[in-house]
This record gives sequence, structure tokens and C-alpha cells, in this order.
Amino acid sequence: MEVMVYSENEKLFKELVSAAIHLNASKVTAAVIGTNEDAEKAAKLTDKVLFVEASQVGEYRPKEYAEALFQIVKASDPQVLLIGGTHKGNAIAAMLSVMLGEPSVTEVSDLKITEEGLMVLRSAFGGVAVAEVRVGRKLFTKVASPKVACLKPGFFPPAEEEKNGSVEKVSVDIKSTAEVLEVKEKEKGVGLEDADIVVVAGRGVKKKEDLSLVEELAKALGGVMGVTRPLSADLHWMPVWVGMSGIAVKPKLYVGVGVSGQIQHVAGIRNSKVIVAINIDQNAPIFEHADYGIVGDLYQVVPKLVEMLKT
Amino acid sequence: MERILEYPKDPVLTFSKEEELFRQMVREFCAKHIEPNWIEVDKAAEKDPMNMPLDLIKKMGQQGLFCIPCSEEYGGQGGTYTMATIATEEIAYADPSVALAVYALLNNGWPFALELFGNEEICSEILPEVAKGNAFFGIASTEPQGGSDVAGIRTRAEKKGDVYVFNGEKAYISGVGEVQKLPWGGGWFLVARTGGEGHKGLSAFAFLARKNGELGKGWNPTLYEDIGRHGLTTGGFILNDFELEAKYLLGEENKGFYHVMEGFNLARIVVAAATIGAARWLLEKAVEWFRSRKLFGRHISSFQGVSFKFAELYARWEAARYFVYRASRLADKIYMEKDPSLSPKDLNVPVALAKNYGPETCVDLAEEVMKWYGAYAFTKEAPIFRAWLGPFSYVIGAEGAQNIMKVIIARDLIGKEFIR
Amino acid sequence: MDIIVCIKQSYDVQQLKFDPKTGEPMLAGAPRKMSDMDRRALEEALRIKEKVGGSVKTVTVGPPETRDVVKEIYAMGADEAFVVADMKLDKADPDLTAKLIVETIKKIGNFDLILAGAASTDEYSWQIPAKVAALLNLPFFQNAVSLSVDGELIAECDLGDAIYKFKSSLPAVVSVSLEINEPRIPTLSAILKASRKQFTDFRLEDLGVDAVTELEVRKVVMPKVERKNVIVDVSDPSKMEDELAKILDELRKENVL
Repeated sequence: MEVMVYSENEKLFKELVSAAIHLNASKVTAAVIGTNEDAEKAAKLTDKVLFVEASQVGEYRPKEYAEALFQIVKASDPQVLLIGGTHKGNAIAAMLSVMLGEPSVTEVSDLKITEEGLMVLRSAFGGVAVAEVRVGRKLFTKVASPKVACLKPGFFPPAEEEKNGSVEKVSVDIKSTAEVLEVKEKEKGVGLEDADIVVVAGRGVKKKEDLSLVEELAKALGGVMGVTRPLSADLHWMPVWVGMSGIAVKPKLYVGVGVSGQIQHVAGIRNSKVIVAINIDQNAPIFEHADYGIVGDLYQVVPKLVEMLKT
Repeated sequence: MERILEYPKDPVLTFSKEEELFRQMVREFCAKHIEPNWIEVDKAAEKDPMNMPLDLIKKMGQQGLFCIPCSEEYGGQGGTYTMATIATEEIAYADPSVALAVYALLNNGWPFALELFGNEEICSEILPEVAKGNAFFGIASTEPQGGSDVAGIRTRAEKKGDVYVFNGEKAYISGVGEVQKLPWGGGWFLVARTGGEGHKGLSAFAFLARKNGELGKGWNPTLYEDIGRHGLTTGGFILNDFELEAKYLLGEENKGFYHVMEGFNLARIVVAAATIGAARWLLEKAVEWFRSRKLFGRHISSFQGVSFKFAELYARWEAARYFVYRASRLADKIYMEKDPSLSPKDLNVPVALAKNYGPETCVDLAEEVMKWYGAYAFTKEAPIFRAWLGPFSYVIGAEGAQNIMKVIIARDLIGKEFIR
Repeated sequence: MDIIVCIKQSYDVQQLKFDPKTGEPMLAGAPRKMSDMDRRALEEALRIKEKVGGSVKTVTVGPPETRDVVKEIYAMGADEAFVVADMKLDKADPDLTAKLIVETIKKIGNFDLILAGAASTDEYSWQIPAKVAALLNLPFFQNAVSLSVDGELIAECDLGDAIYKFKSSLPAVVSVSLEINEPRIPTLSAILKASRKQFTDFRLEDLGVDAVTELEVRKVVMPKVERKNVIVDVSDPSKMEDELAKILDELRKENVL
């Protein structure tokens, strides 16, 4: 079975290769829209690289990129197409799957091939739940008509560079309908997504000024501070929140300060390695999701912790 | 939106899809604009009553939270009285000091009463400005000698040509500051004596102390320092030969007593609505506290002295809610649907029940919640006292003293001649 | 500018409850609301119309209870709402939904711009607007944070690591982000007027589409991650430091500190 992988993100690309191996792919093909160098890099990870020169397609536009990938897919015969679930990847996947006449599924965290075809786990209800989904009726329906799945970052280990695949150029002819006027790199945010230690302030923090207390704990731990949805969406103390429809974190250590633990918040911290919760309410649902729970007044506990960490 | 207490699911007291959607929209508005600001509003106006939240009043006007039951041709929302009740309840939940809820309820109830008795000319002049939040329109009945004895009002309005000339004094009037500060101005549904002694010598007026930004001559206001509900001013004014055009007479001359009583009935419904809104906030504060507070190693609600009291007060809250919505539905039948089997008098007892029960439940609840909170509740950091002192104004007497409500109930049920 | 907005009546995930035993969502009668990003798409359409004129029509696809969203759509100010409602659509996948939207759009006729939320509040598939664009063979731009239409389309799109500014001809399909605007809250008079407005209610048969789905959801559960659940009470100030020290030790042992 051939599995084709595509992602503009280098790290995610390696994770896709791992996922393809996890599916027992007999052949892993890389689809690359980029430079010769990009293609060579991909060849170290895969059996074969089908490569469209970026100059033929131009900068990223969803429709043009989906069309280019469509032509790459047609140049081979994959049964599954794995795409990195970034904004770009999700859009390409959706358009491409329509062109292919095959289904697409996004937000995938795990997948396997069964007798019934491709089965995936995808997050549901904004990450609160996980859904088991069968994608398409069966595999191998027609030539070069793969089921399309977009993988969320961080669920497969990056593959090692141990292959030496062939590189084959695919020539495409794309009719352009849009142009890119400007690409503004975004400032790296607070870095919550990638932080090893995340400290989150919840409703138990009474005043905006008191956030500095939590910030100090984050600093003392060498981590980054975030807030829950009510503090962001309702009180506007910070522009982003941790949890459903906000940022999902997966740090080594998560500390919830005055966080009650609504399921919508837990959805965004579930993949933390260790969860610590500080809350005055011993029945706060957060304690069910915590490795270590501290029942006490955050206004006493947090300064104490900061003091202890500093010495 | 997460709520600590779910709003009761109720197959008896039901709401239409429009009412549900409206409640949801008011909640969204309040969550965005009122909930995050009400404590600051209360504090700012505590320092100086003239620090009223003009920006919020403007926003509430834009959102259509005033003149809800008034006609659209006068800038109203063309809604029902129940919709005004829903809005008031939700605003008071978001601002349990009830300042903004009282601003809203006055500017729903009294503009509606104005539309009932005022001519087209003055309705088109005043109501659109009130609806937009540019003008205030409340009630001015109370005088220094007392409020409950409406028939004893002394302020005189003498007709001279095509004006009435006012002399006298009004006291404990809401909106004295707002009328001066809002862009257009405003005034009150004012009751004054045009005839002889007793209730048959009274007339009602749409009394404008300030209109189009210009103050009338002979209107001399003072402001009081209130103990609570600071976001809305209270004051008094002395009238020295204040002239008002005759077109501002509401209804018939010397029938003012009956007109204002209808207005009071309408206003009392939304007054009670404000107190059940604030009470819902208090109930949630209590539950939040129970879930987080421990004493002697136990949650304080594990003491039945606490949890039983909570259960009793919750029951009273649900009952108050029934009284409020029963009265507002009845008001809709009388004033919106014009049900021929009903008359405005049929509102007397239902309204008195709601007005008697809502504020008392709210204040009793506030006192209990403060006791449950303990010493913390006695500090200004805990906001509970703000939800106690505001609604307390309605136990003391605003919009009809509690004992007057009992008089109304007893009089209508037993018979006037048997209670003298 | 004639704009069509795709609007989903999503489950209100903030209020969604899960069976504590099975971990399954309790969907029967669960509250729904207009999907957050779709609401912003509608707001954006209304703002464009207020600026340059034209019309705003909406398409909603889903199970019968999604018809409720029409009141809010009209209350916000849309000119005409189209709904495709059917029991079978409870299990619709993105491809079926997109197909039904496209068939409805074909019935509506002329348009210059199609707007939708980038993802729905309950599903977050990020797929439907792109599939609609692909089915109509139109350019597509996703997760717009700002939009201008002046003969041509300029869309600034937040693509995670960068903001892309695209220029395109019209018609086109644009999905919008949560940040694009702050949607209006309808007034009561708008709600009351909306309740009197009729909408077009299509059946699957009217559109000649079979309710065939390629994605089949087998099971939905709230995952349970096993945790140590070591809980200490530090309300006694004399013991606080000792208890906290123990926890910090554990964290060091676990190598997370």
C-alpha cells in the first residue's frame, strides 16, 4: 500500500512519515512543492519524492496548491494521503479531496487500516471528545484515489532520516486566480503551544492585577503563563486562552491556579505530562484531572511556592 | 455561557422563541458591557453621584433596552411588557447593585405609562430620546412629607392660559442627576394638585425639567448621598413658578391619581423583576461560596442550618419569579392584547404580591449570603453588600412601601370597607 | 455586492454535557447556537452590504432543529435565509454538507462572494468552505482576519505562522476567523421583525442529493487520561510549607521541574 505525505512544515512532515510507517505502508511517497533542496531533504525520509518546483506554482494559494498536489497524486497511486493539519494543509486537503472525489478527515490524532478501510481518531466538539471515524467505504476503489487525512501536530514522533528515495519532478500547469500581495510573519506569541511548563490562571484569580502573582510563579518555574476562557473571552485580561477553541497545550508540567476545570478547559490540557492544580474548592473538577492537587487559597499557596522555588 | 445555577426549566411559566432569543441577546449584551463594569460604576458614583455611567446608558439605548413596550413609531421596540420584565431581570443579574436595572425599568415602565396617557405630540417629542438613552423619564410623586400618601400631595399646578405654573417640592426622586447630564434631558411622570383636597384633585404631567439640552426656569434640584445603588442618582427639587405647556398634561385633569396608580402597577412589576435578577446573582454567589468554603473541615453547606436556609430562600426566589411573570403576562393581556374580560384594576393584587415578595426575598437572601460569607462580606472587597443595599431601596419604600402592598392585597381581597 | 453566507446551527459545546459513566456526549435536546465564526461571517457580510449595497442571503444545512437559527439570522439583518433540513443530516459529513450548500447556492443564483466561518464551533473540521469553493471551482481563502471588496477581493488571512494578504478576482469563497469582527447583538425590535419573516425550506429531494456519507462516526467519547490524583489540603498554614515541599520533590523526581 502506498501512502503519500505532504506538509509545508518540516517537523510535521517527519511526523507524517512516521504515521505512514505506522500504517504499514509498503511505500511512502512524499509530495513536495518547493525547491530542489526541499525535495532532497524529503528523499532522506521517504521511498520516493514527487516534486513540483515552487516557481511553477508560486506562493501559497489554496486552490493553486490543491491543483498542483492533485497532479502529483495523479502521477502515482497512493491509497492514503496524509497531510499536515495546519491551516494551509487543512484547506489544501479539503479542496484536493473534492477534486479526487474522495473523502477527507481533519484533526486526526491516530489512524489505522482495518478490513473496513481507514479508521481514524479525530478530536470532536473542539477537543472535548474523541471520535472514531471510518473514512470512506473501502480502500483501493480506483487508481490514485486516496482517502485524505489531516494529522494534528505532535501525535507521532518525527521520522529519522534513513532513506534515500528517488526524486521525480512533476511538471504542472496551474491557472492562477489569485496573488499574494504580502506575507507578514507573525510575532512568536507567548509560546504556550511549545512551552515545557505552562501555568494557567483561572476564575479563582479575582483581579487583573493579581495575574502578576501567577506570572511570578510561571517565571519561578521557568514557564509561560496563560489564562482560562472566562479571563480572556469575558474579562479580556489576555488575548488568548488555554482550552477549547483557544490554545491546546502539551507541556511537561501544567499548573492550574484557581482553575475550576471545566471540560472545555481540560480538553486543552489533556496531553500535559503532569498536571498540578491549586484550588480552594476540594470538589473542583480539575482535581479529577490532576496528578497533584493542592487544596488551598491560591493567594497563600502561590507566593509560598514562589518563595520556595527561589531558594 | 456557563452558569452556576441553571435557569429553571419550566413547562408552566413558558417563554416564546422570541422571548428566549431576546433573553439570550440581553445576556450577551450584559456579559459584555455590564458584568465587567458594574462594581466600578457603583464605586465611581459612590464618590460623586454625578459620575453616572453615561456611556453604558448610551450603549443600552443603542441596544434597545429602554422603551421596550413602547410603539416603534415613537422609537420603542414594539415589544411586550414581559419583554421589559425579561430585560430588567437580566440587567439586574449583571448589575446586582440594580442601578442600571432601575434606570432601565424606570425608562420602560414610565415611558409606557406616558404613551398610555400622553398625546401624540409629546410622545413623539419625548419617547424617541428616552429610547436612545439621550433622556431620562421616571416618576416624581413623593414629597418631603411622605410618599405613600399620594392623595396628600401638595405641589400645585395652576393653569394660566396655555401653561401650568408649578410650585412645591418633590423628594426622593430617581434621575435628578441624569436629567441634568444626559444630552437631551428628560423628566418625570409628575403628580401635582390642580384641584381640591384628596385624590380627586390631582393631575399627572409629563414634566420635563430639561429638554433639548435646556433647563426649565424655576427648577431647583438637590442630590442626595445614597447608601447604595450609586449608579443612579436620587434627589429632590423645589419648583418656583415653573411653567409647563398644557399639552404635557397626561390623561384628564384631576384624574391623575388613577393614571399614576396604573403607572405604579406597571413599574412595580419591573421593580420586582430587578430584585429577582439580583437575587439570582446572590444565589449563585452563595453556591459558589458553599462549594469552595470550609469550616471545621467541612463545607459550610454541609451544616443544615446553612443548606436548609438556602433551600428556603431558593423556594422564595422561585415563588417571586412566578409572581413577577404572572403579573407581567397579565399586564400584556390588559395593555397589549386588550382582553375585554380584564381591567387595569385586575393587576392590583398580582402586582402587589410581586412587589411585596421580590424585594424582601432579595434583601433577606443578601443578608443570609453575607452571614454565610462571614467577615469577608463586611469588607468592601466582597461585592455582596452592593447587592444588598441597592435592592434594599425597594424594601424601604421606593415605588410603594411594603406595607402599602399589603394594604392593596387586603383591600382588594377583603373589601375596602372592611379594612378601615 | 451579493453575498451568500453559510451558517451552521452548532451544538453549544460550552453547555454540552457528557454521560459520566460512558463518557458519551448527551446530544438529545442539547442546546444549539449559531456557530461563533459563522456569526462573524454574517456580520462581515452585513457590514459589506451596509458599505457598498447589495444583498445578504444565508444557507443553513442540518437536522430539523437547525431551522431555529433563522430567527437569529434575520434578527441580525440578513435579507433572505435558505435552509436544508432533514433528520438524515444529523450524520452529514463535510462532503455531503458542502454538496447541499452548493446545490442551494445554485438555486439562489447570482452571487459575488461566499462567506463562512473558518470552522464550526462543534465540529472544527475546517473543511466545508474549502469544499464549497472546490465544488464551484472558485478561489478560496481561509481564516480571514480582514476583508475588503472593491471590484476585487483583498483578504488578509491568519495562516498560523504568518498573515497572508491575498488579492483575487470575484466571485470567491472566504472563510473568516473569530478575530475578524465583533458581531452585533440584535435588538428586540429586530428579533420581533425577524419572527415574521419567511424562509425557504428545501428538502433533500428538492436538491436532488442523496444523504450518502463517506465518513461514518462510530463512537464519540470524552477520553479519560489516568492521573495520580494525589490531593493534599494545605488550608492549615503551619503545614503548608511541608506539603508543598513534598509535591515539589515529586515533580523533581518526575523530571518535569
